[in-house]
Amino acid sequence: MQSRLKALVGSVAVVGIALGAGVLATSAPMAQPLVQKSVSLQQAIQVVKAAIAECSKDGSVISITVVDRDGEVRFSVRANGANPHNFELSRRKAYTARTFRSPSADFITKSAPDKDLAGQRMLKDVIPLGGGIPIMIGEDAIGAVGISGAKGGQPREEVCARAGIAAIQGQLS
Amino acid sequence: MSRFTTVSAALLAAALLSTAQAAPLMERNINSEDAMVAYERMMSSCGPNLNNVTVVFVDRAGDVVLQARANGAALHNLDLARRKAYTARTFRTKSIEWRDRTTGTQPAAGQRMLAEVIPLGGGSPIMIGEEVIGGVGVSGAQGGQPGDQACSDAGAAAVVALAR
Repeated sequence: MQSRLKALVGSVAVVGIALGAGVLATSAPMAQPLVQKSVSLQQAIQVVKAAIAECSKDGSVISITVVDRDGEVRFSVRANGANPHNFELSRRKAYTARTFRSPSADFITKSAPDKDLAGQRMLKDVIPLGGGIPIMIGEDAIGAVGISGAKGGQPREEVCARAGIAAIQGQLS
Repeated sequence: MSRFTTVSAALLAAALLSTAQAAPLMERNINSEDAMVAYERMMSSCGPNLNNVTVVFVDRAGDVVLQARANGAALHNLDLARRKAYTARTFRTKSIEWRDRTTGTQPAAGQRMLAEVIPLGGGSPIMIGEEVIGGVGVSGAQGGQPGDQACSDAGAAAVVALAR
């Protein structure tokens, strides 16, 4: 009886070790940190410069924000003579484009008052206004740029934002 | 009657005088284009490793004009850089000097209870003569607070050089 119990304990231990080894062998390689791309400060500065260059063609002085993958500000500049709301609006447009992975202008129609998604407008920091464009690598949003204060309004802000991203298009892979 | 007329004329003149004085304030302020150029120029004074150097420029009102969060920034760096800039702006002095004059039992110690200020080196006022037009704050440069301070001093100097 004693020896049978010993044998049982022994086999349980063997099975336990085998299971443990199995867990280690199969799960350990998967338990690496996530590695995700995010827009770098250097890229953000290039985006801002190119967007400002485009917008200044008609004399517009813009406030502009680049957010990273997390929706946090990476680089931003407030225009000379900006209205009090412009800077914050540029950030929220960028945040909106980043979090929905589409131009912030899309959010205007998708979340219109008569739509099922109207409730999304109650999220913090989003804004249903054009002028925010996501920075994409394929299907992956690594950041976004948002602009406020251009003379041509939202359509023109989108043009400037796209011109900014175009400056780093070669690095988006 | 003539006295009344004289008094009325004097009042009218006084009213005109005060109208003439009621022009808007003309204040100098940091130019955001200068801030962008200064940001890039100051980096040569911010140590060999720029991966952690976060910078914020504030204007005369203490509001953010430019912010650049380093790729390797810790969570607190951006707000710290902003508060250093704000501190330097509002006290018109380097934040490392303000730190040292508000310690312990000094008469100015209570200033540390203000919102937004921070008693840490790395903030520099942007001065045109005696007039403050903004501030620059740095967090994350090598060499701790003296390193941050040298970096922000370079930023303020770069703006002043551009403003002249």
